Amino acid sequence: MRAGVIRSLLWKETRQIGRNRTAMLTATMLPFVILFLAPIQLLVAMHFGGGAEFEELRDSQLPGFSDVTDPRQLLVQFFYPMLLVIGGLLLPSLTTAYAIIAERERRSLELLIALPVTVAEILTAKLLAVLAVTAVIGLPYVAVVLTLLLILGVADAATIPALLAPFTAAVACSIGISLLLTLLARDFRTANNLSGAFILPAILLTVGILSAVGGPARTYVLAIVLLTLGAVAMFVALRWVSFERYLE
Amino acid sequence: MNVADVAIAFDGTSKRYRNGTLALREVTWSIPVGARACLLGPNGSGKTTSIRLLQGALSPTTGWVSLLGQEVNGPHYADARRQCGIVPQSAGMYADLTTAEYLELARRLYERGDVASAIEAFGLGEHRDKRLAQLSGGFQRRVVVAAALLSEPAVLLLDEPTVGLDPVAAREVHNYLRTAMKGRTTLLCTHNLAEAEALCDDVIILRAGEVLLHEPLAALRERRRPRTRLVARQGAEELAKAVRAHGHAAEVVDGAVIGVIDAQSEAPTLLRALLSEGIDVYECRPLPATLEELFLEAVGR
Repeated sequence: MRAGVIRSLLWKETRQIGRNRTAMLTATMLPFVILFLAPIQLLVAMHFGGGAEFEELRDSQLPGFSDVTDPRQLLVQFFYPMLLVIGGLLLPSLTTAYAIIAERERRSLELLIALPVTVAEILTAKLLAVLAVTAVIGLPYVAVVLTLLLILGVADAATIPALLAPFTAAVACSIGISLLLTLLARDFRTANNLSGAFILPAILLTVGILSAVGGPARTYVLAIVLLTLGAVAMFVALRWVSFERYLE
Repeated sequence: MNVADVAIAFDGTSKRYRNGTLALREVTWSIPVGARACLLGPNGSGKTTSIRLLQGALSPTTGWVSLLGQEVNGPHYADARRQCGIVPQSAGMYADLTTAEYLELARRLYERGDVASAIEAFGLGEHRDKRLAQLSGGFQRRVVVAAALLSEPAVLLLDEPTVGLDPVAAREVHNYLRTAMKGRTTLLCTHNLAEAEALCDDVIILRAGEVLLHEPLAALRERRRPRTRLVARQGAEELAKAVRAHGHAAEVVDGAVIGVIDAQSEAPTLLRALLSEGIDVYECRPLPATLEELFLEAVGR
């Protein structure tokens, strides 16, 4: 794979994603709500109350909550990681569907492969573009919330990597699964329906892991599970589904 | 043929798609550097699959394919690929990239070429900042041809370059192609036999994934039995009877008689005989075989 070619294709992809108002609006608004508004609201709620809910969760005997002694820790150990995973799963899935399905729906892949590029380079550039858009849109929200958590003393420096791990793993997992689903789907609607069908089990899995695993390792365990899921999906997409389907 | 003289080669190449369709069946053919060949065949004969194999978008199931002496998707294929311009078959157009941006992408990927000159040469000045999807069919095809020629490639692969265009736009594209094909190895896939006849010297006919015929167009014409068209005042039926009486096969087509007659060696004697018999022949002209007839003959064989 040639770096110069990937750079040129990346230039094309980011231009195209940036020009699609629907893709950009959805990709901006959803993370704003999930990665910024919701955590801030929870932070305020935990700061000024929320003790009753905390008591309920602590008495639930779930191993994941046995070490949570402070209501504010519930935000850092459970709710915020869960929101980070949901945001990390949703954000790339929208742009991946756009980057890949649009090429198929308008039959412009023919135009692209007429140029001296390989199918692998096209896919790599698309996935890198999705990653770039996710980073540009998602990371500022995450950075603001993490800074607030640090300033308010809700989280310490050691907590930051424990929170970033599930977020980055969710992004990677979403890219792998979205790639598989968009290669399987024939149009936008099917791709979005498939993505929607995948999100609910992914959220249940996240809640399950965070509730079942105790101690500071819980978010890392979640990250490993998500990374494994993403890697399997990516492998299946490239090995058995493949971009060749679009040309056959 | 020396390997260095071969521009495009298929050797025992088969392609089976994942749905089980066998698009190519162990085909072996090649064209030398500088040749202008057309790939003809009915729908589903394997023409577009051949182009996609050459551009490296698909991999052969068996055998190999080479471009400018380099095996497709082999270690040095990328260099050969950058010397090859491709005009794809009625590709969809980007609604979010302008003419100038698409040509700039082509320039970056080919690592050479001058976008401004290409825009001027193809009369795209007024459309340089328009989105590709907003252009008319003729201008869209001009952009695609401009992108294929931007890097001054040694090889041109043209997959149905004028399909879907109105006659005026098709003629414009033909004019660009005629100039562009000079001195370049060209493989033209088309359904349009007049287009193939006007632009190419060699013919490769595919049917159901197999090579049916691969010959220079001139040789194909020479091999075909000569035909002459005759018209007489007495009418086609009477003329046909008289021609047959002289031992020539003849059929009536559109009020004229098409006879298996060599215009140079047989027609003068026949004409003298017919006139002396009172058949007033007032038109007699040789009929060069059209590619359409040659194609139908080959495919129907």
